[in-house]
Order: sequence, then C-alpha cells, then structure tokens
Amino acid sequence: MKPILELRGVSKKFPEFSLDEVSFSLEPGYIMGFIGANGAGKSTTIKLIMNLLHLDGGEIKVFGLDSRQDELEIKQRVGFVYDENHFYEELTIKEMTMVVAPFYKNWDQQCYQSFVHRFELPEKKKIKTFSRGMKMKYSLAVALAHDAELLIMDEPTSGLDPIVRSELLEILSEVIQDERKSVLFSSHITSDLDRIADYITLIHNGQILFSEPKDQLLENYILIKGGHDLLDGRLQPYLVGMRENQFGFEGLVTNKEQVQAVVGGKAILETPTLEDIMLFCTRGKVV
Amino acid sequence: MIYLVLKDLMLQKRMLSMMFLYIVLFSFTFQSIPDGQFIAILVAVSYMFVMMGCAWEDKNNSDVLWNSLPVSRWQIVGSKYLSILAYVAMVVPVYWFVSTAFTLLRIPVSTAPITWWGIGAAMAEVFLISSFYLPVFFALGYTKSRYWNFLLFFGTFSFGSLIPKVLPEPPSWLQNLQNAPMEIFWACFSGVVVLIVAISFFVSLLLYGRREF
Repeated sequence: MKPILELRGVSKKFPEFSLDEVSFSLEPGYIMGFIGANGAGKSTTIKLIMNLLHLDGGEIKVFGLDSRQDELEIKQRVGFVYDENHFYEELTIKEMTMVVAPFYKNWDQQCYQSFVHRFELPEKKKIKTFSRGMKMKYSLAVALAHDAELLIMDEPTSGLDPIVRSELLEILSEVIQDERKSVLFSSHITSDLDRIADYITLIHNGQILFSEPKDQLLENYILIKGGHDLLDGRLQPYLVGMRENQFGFEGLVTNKEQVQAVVGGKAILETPTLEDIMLFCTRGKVV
Repeated sequence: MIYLVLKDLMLQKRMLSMMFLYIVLFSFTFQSIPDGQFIAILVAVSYMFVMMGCAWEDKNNSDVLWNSLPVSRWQIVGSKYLSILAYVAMVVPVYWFVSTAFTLLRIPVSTAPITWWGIGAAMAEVFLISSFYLPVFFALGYTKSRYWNFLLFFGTFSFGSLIPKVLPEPPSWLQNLQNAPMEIFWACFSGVVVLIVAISFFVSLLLYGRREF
C-alpha cells in the first residue's frame, strides 16, 4: 500500500542541533506514535513535514505528493493539533472558525458543529478564556471538520488532565476506524501511545533509532531485573540498556529465549512498557 | 485572502474605542495644521492600526497557524497590504462622528472637513509608510521590527515637514510636474505610489518565503 506519509533522508541543521537522515513511513489506517525525549527532534520533524521549516536535505512525501511543490493540496487533506494554541486568543471560536473554514474545500459545518457540541465548547467566549484542554479540543474539531486524512499532532496531550487525554484517545480510535486515515502522534507521554499506537518511531538526538510496529517492539524487547551476580558478561550481547542500584540491576534485552537460557530462574523477565523501551534505548547503560 | 482581511478587522474592532480616543487626541494635536489636519489624523490612526494588526500576529504566534493551513504565503503577505484599505475605510466614519460631535457639543476644536482628495492622499501616505515597514515586519516579525517602525512613524510626523526646507531646489522636471494640470500630477503620483507598493509587496513575499517558524 502507498504510504500516506514518507520521509526519506530528511536533514536539517541548526547551530546546536541537527536532524540527521530521518526516514520513516506511515501507511493509511494506522496511528504512529512518534516518541523521544524533549529536544530529540520531534517538533522539528513535524515542522519540516508542515513546511514551517526549510529542508536542508532529503524528501518528504504526503499522500505521494511532494511536501514543497504540492503544499496547498496536501494541507487541504491534513489536520494539525499543536502543543500550543496558535488561534487568536482575542477572538471567539465562532469568529475564528468563520475565518479558517473558507480555506478548506471539504469543510463540513455540520460535522464541526457536532464536535463543538460534543466537546461542550462555548462558541461565544474568547479563546483566551479556554482551558488548555478546550483549546486542544477546538484544534481537533477544526482538524476533523474538513475530513483530514492525515492528522499531525505535536504533543497534543502535554499538560492535559487524564480525563481529557482519555477523551482524545477515544476520538482518535474512532477516527482510525476510517481506513483512509492515519495519525502521527508525537508525545513523550508514552502511556498514551501504549493504548492506541500501531507503530512506534523513536527519535534521539536527531536520529531515528527505530520505526516498527508496536506489537513487534513489545515482543522483541524484554525487561530484566536481577542481582549483580548476573552481570558477568554473558548478558552483554543482549543488553540494550540498563541501570544498576545497590540491590541489583534492571535492563532491557533482546532475544528472550537466549536470555532465559543464560539467566535460568535467577532473574525476573517482564514485558516492557514503551517508556522502558524509550528510556533504555536512549540512555544506554547507566550505572 | 478576503478572510484574512476580515480577521484583521475582527481583531481591530476591539480597538474601536481606542480609535475614537486617538482621533480626539490628534484633533487637538494637529489643530495647528488646518490644511493637513484631516490627512494627518487619517494617516496617524490608520498606520497605528497597521502596527497593531502586526502586533496581534506576533502576540498569537499566528504564522504557525496560517502556514499550517492551506493558505499560500502570497495570500498572507497580500492580506496585510489589503488591510490598509480597510483600516482607512474604518477611520473615515469615526473621524466624521468625532468631528460632528465636536460641532454639536460646541467643543472649541476646529476640525477639517472630509474630502475625497484628503482620503486619497492619506491612503497613499499610509501605503507609502507601510511599504517601508511591512518588508521588515515580514522578514523579522513584529518584536524585532518595532524600532524601525518607531523611526518610520515618528520620523514621518516629526521630520516630514522639515524635508522641503532641508532638500535643495527640486529639479526642473519635478517643478514642471508641480505646474502640470492636477490630473497629470495625480496620475504620476499614483503611479509612483503603486510602483513602490508593488516593489514592497514582492520584497515582503521574498523575505517571508525565507522565514522559518
């Protein structure tokens, strides 16, 4: 199937940071969790996709179209939710929508109204009086009202309470029922992605460490906890990262069967969370 | 693009009371130049609205929004120039209201009458000042461009009247133009203004195209 989003060798240089040959792709009908620590390059990548930054190298295709040459056509079919509000705080959402809606050819006012009603957004109050959650919901209503096929979300859940976060995840699960649609969801709150993501892409220091199906990741990696006596070198080839404390160690390993053979019954082996995988893959060995 | 202008007007409508206040204030300030009072007020207030329009963009970091929507950069740039017309059109009725109120309330402030010539001249002047400001705004954003803005705004009003005294005699072709029939003079003047605005627009577009957000 043709990817809905494809990045090939994307690079961007800043004086103190650079994205280096970033490549990954997302097919229709899936949610991709784009994870990484603060400053890893998630927002820079998203800004490059949205053409808010100029590319230094590489290529970005959205719906098979060139992100630079076919920018306006692509943006007709893309919805976005950013970590900060960029709507005019002095306007009401009714006024804001009056300005934004005419730019979308597929704007569906009925669909928009249904989301405004569902999210209980007051149409006549200024956006500056909205809570962070309400601002995010308004962005989402705008993104969904023009039948966006690709939703790009940059840290949409940061600073939101668990109830609003849960609501958002429910809506995304509904959106993805339409198999034409995909979501790129950047976050460092990996518990959200544990629930809804189909693919996980991890970025660290401007480089992609992996981009794989979530289930495959959770099968490939094992969380191991044991005593210091197990650190005799035999685990070394399988260790992705670990940390030691006075009681023993905790680490992330690959090759479950071989690790089991090495440690026997002396260690606890558990399925890791995405947070464990992100932590150990990016930190390596911490003593 | 018309919706971007509409957005500017919706943001500015909250400043309508300020517009009244400025017009009252400038009516006193510019009493000493009865011939140019109407034009000076129209220029000063309209240009202040151009500045405020730019400040709103900066305050809301709205470049990220517009550049994420299916809106081209030429539309974003063009709307700021088009908004100038809308601002002047907003100021004229408010000026009429204030000057009428002065007369009815017998407030001892003389106000110049509204004339088409005055509206045209003021519009040309606001376009001219904005043409020197907007490329800097589109290149650097409002915060970094405000010193240039300050210089332009106060320079126009403080030193504008000194220019004829400082400059040498105008060249003969310019003197001929001054003596030409009004239609020819205005056609030439309008042509020069349109040319400057067009150059300014393309420079703004070029600089804004290079911006990153």
